[in-house]
Amino acid sequence: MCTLLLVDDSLTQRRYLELLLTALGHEVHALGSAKLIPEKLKLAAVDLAIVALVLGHSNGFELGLRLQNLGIERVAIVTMNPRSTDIQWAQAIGLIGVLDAPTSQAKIRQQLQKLLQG
Amino acid sequence: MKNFIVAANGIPALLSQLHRLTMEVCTQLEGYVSVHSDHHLHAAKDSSHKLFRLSSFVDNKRLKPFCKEFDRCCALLTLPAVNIDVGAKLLIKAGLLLEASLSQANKGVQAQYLSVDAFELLRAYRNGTPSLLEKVKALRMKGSSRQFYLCLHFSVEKILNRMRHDAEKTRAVEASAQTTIALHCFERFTNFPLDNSWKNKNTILKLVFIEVASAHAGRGVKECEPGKPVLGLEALNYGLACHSVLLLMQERLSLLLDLCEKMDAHTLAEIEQKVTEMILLTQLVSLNKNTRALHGILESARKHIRKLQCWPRHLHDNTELLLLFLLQTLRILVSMINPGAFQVLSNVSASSLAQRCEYSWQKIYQQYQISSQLKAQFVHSLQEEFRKEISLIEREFDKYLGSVKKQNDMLPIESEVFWALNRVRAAAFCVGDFALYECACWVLRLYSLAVERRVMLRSDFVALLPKLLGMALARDGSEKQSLYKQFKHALLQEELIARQCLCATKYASSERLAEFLSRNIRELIIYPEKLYESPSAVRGLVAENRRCLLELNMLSIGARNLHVDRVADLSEALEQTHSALCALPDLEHVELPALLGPAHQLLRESLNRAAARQHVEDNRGVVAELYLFLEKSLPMVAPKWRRRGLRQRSKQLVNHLDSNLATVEALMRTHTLALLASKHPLLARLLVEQRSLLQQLQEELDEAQRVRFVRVRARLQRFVARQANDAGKLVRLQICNESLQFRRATIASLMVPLQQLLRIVIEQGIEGEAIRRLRIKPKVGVISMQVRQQNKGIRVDLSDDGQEIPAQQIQAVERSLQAIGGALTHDYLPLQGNRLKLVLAG
Repeated sequence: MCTLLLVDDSLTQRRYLELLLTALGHEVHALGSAKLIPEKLKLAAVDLAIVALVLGHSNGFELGLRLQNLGIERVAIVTMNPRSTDIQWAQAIGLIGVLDAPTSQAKIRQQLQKLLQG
Repeated sequence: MKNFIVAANGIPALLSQLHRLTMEVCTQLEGYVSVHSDHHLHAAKDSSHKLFRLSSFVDNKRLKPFCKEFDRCCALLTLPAVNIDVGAKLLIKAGLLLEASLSQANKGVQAQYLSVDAFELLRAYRNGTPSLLEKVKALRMKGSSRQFYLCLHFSVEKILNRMRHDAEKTRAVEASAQTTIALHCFERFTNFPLDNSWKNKNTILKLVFIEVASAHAGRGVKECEPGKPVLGLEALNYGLACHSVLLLMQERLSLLLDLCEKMDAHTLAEIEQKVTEMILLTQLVSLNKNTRALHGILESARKHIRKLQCWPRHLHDNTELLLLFLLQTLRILVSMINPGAFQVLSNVSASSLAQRCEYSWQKIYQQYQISSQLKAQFVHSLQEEFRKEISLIEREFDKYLGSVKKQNDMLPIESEVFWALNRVRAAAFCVGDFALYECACWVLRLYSLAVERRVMLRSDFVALLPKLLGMALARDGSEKQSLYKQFKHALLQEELIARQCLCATKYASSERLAEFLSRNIRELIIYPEKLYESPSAVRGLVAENRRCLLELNMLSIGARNLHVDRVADLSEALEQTHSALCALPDLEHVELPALLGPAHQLLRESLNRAAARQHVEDNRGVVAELYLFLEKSLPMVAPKWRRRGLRQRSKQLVNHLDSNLATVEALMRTHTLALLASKHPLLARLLVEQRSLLQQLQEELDEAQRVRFVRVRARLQRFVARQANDAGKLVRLQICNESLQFRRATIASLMVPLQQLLRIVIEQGIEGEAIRRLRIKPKVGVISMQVRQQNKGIRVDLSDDGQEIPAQQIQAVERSLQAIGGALTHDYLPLQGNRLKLVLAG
């Protein structure tokens, strides 16, 4: 079981991902805004942060870099339409991968396993 | 010519080439039979045509007609309604005969292999059934089982081809004489009982049955005993070539949709039965591996899924039943599209079809899983959140619409819209509203193109956004369906315009460039942190970091090519600052983190935003600060030469000084001349005369109003050559009546629209070399230009031998001509090309 930080400003998608990840047995801290991240990090150590690529006033890549500076080593991007350039840029800036979402339980389990092992 | 033909018969090289071509046709046809790819058919068609053309140089009375017939039959295979499997097998046999006749190149053509029977069979296959039916009768009398079944098979195939064609177009084939012939044929030659139940059968079902029976008859060539054909439902197992099944499937689908609107137990049972039948038929079609048929089924499945989403809520059970069927259809399609089936295909359509199948299947299957997983507990709460989310998005769209109204024509690209569209799509997917999901996908696709500056969207596009939200908020199925129809219609128009835009513009592969940049930019990502990390090491970092300069240079060029101008501007300014800082001997008085830190921070942010396909924010403030520093601190440094270094600048200065000195020298000479003239009156008079003569000549030149058209010939030909070279095509320009004289102004005002037209003709009209080869056209495209005088004005008739130019392409030129009092008409004649008439008054 891992502690996951989920940052997505889409209500429905955040709730849906939270449901899937909780059903897999992980502890999920879901946030709708990046402002609350420092407070959340004080309360719990995070194993993996999952950040939406498109955010209202920022984006997943920028937030990912900020999270890395805050001490979270593993940050992944979640997006509806992953492109090859997304994966390459994520790797270029040191993020661990790109998740395809929304997705089924089996698929997200597989993807998470891959990310956490890598 | 005759001598050449006679001589050619003895040339073994020609015969061996013919032999090679025959082998090529056979190989391609066999390739088709094994993998069912249209690519093989087209290759076979090309080779057979070459074979026929070359065969005319061989003086042999059997070879040439045989090759001609062979070529015609090959061409027949590419028609839509033909059962290709049957024809391909026949042609392979004919090809093998040809191959045998040409195998001994030294001995000439072995005409005994090209028997009259084989030739007649080919001809009968191409021409139709009557002669074949006669042959069938004769063969039945003889009791020759193999040939009897073969002829029967071909005759029925031919009839079926026509019937399928009719059925696709009119859907009423009962009355046609061909049906009667086919039924008669079956009744008479296969002992098939045509009882009363047969008459009650559906037309398309009859078609399927005949087709299956025909396929079975083909199989009977090897296995069946004469007079004892096995016909019945079990024959479905052999019917691998059922093209009509697709028609039946489409009919059944619409029937199912009709049935589902009635809600009772009886209908439900009927639906279940129909769904089972449909699954069987899908399997049958999938065995055929015909890409066109697959594409058709996939499209109809997607269409029906969207329809189902718009149905009233109380029919949910039936909807799920149908969804299950459609899922099953897609599952079969995906399972059959294994890597092996497509590995031989080089055309993009097949691979994109495979990707599309895979994508559709995954999305629909996920959606189904989601709805089944979440239905019990969470669907209600998700729906509530969906409503909240849609109202949030609506507010964003309102803001956006307001901003669009302020800026009249230009459509601003705002990241909020991209974000909102993404959220609509995600939310629609989560609550299982697949119709809305699909629509948001379409809109997002268009918007992504606009964000990447590949197309410029019209303001009408904005009107689609409220419609999209209207669809989300509509609860009633019928209301949703009508909204969906309106939306689809409007979006199709937008998509069409965007596609035309994409076709008209040459766009470099942005993916590759972006990929290259993401691989090679490393230093710039960590640079902001490095700047603030250790103030003591900053000077060393700035002075010796060549990697940073290299990356900035690369990024500025790449971003400019990708049309991300703000990133390009910022990286250029940073690169100039860095190179100037490298050139400075002392950096002590410069506050490096304060100068470079915000700029590097902003550059990284902009890069991230561009990578996330978001709007890159205005950075003029930061760029201005960098340039201000360059102006104040380094007054010697000018932007143009900075990247070339100080040595370059010194060379420039020396050159500038030289030119100034030269000017000064010339002035001094003039002054000396003036002094001399004041002393010598004769010289002064001669100088005055020379000046007046020069003025006169200049005036005469200016007043010459009429010039010959030939003066602009070289310019036009240069233009055509350059455009053709850019487009990678071979084009020749022919100009007639070029010695005619016109007013200079008329020719001058004609040049711009004429060049625009020539560019359009080269880009849109004249085909590429490969396509021209396929269409049997000469390698070099020809544009003919005929110049005439008309009512003191000029008329230019432009014609080409290419494909039709879309009318929208010419509208801009037409408008620009109308603005200067001219007119333009366009006409396209198949097999002749485009005809453009350009008239400009004098």
